[in-house]
Amino acid sequence: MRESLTARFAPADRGVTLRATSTSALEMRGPFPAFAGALPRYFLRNVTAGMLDGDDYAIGIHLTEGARVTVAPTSAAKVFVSRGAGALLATTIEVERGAILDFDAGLTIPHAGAVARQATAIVLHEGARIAYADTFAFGRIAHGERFAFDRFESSLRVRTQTGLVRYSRRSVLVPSEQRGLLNAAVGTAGVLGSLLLLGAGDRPELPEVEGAYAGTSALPHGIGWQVQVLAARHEQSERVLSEARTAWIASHGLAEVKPDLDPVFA
Amino acid sequence: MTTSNVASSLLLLQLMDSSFPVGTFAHSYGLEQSVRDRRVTDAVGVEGFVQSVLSMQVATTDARALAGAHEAARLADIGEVMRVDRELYATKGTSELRDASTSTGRRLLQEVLAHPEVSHDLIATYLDTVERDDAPGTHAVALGVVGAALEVPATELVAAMLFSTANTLHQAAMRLLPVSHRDAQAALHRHRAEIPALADDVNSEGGPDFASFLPKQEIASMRHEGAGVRFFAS
Repeated sequence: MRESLTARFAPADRGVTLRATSTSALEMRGPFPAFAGALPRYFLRNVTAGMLDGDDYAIGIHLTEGARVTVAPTSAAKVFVSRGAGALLATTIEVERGAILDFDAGLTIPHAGAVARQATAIVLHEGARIAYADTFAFGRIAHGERFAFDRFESSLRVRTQTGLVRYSRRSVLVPSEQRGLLNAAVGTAGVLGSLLLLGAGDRPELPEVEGAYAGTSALPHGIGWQVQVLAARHEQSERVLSEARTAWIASHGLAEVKPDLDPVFA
Repeated sequence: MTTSNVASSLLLLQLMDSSFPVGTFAHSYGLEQSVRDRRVTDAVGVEGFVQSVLSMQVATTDARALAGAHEAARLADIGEVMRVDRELYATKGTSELRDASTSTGRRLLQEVLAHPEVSHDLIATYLDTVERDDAPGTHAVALGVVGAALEVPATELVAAMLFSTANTLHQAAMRLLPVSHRDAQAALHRHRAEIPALADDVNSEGGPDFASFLPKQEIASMRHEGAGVRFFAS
């Protein structure tokens, strides 16, 4: 399936206005209730709840000057077994001056035999702020499928509005060729959580969560901070990322988004 | 072996020796914190840590940058060297690992230029570029420029960088854990056997093709930034 969604948020008197176009499998739903002063909250929904062989998804999120919004998925993204070229998810995000995007790409779970590629491109304008979170499970651990996928490639690049590359990361995981190396690279963890806090902001304080191994560091060119978490379980990783995101949102003078608000229709 | 090959090998030995004053001995690249956090506890763990660093990061990122910079420098294309340098710098998401790369890179350029026996206009031009902050001066790119200027083949440089990284980490391990010289040498023999294949796989695309996956090392490096007592700078 070839599916796409583009969402353009602009500031309005009481929050944001959304102009979205999408094909049938992808929806942007919202805004959903949040505490007064919190960011307007939207949910990105994939009605198939997963990616199949040959799927080609393109998602574009654009915040115009001064818009402020939270976007989160309604469920984890499962990547199913592939017998061909695999699945592709391309996400582009652009946030203009004075805008704030709190974007949770959610949890990706590659099943045994899955082949997929995720490519994320972020354009950060001067004076914009973005929290970008994603979590990658090393397979369906409870089903004995740790590192049982065939291939998973992930890339993320952050550019300025003038095109300068400020941060870039890319990984290509082929467990059948890297098994011992992957175990050395992640230990006994089951998930890897990642959070980028782009734009102005202080070094995030991370909670000590049992079962989670986490750290934070400044990104290149002073564009912000990153947090990484290796954890046995998704809840442990999520707690670290969620607290760091919540504190970051609060530091920008916005009310905390209570974690118990989401997901509203998982 | 021809005379020029011997000369090239000797130069490589000198540049990559741990006593060459670029400061690599001061870095553990996340190993110190991994030991402190009990993520690495013995010689077997050290060898796994080093192998993953070589295969999942150095061979797939720094070595590609080195090869790309070497090729560009050989063609005197400073603009392309700068592009590769900036691309590599942008992949270094933790500040200690980033600073380790740029501090040793600058020191390498400066140290080579301090000696008329090996000083070269290309190296001087690139150091000038770095000192004007037009390029970050990562270690791999600096090594590529120096190697090209002094006519050391890229494949040999890549292999030497991989081996030197392994050696640096095992030297650090001996200071952090009850790891003996014999343990370290045994591991280095095993790494040495695998390095030619890793070096052969390195291409010179030097850009978005970079790839790495070392979350445990990166998290350790991040946590090291806040450690109260530190033997190593990274």
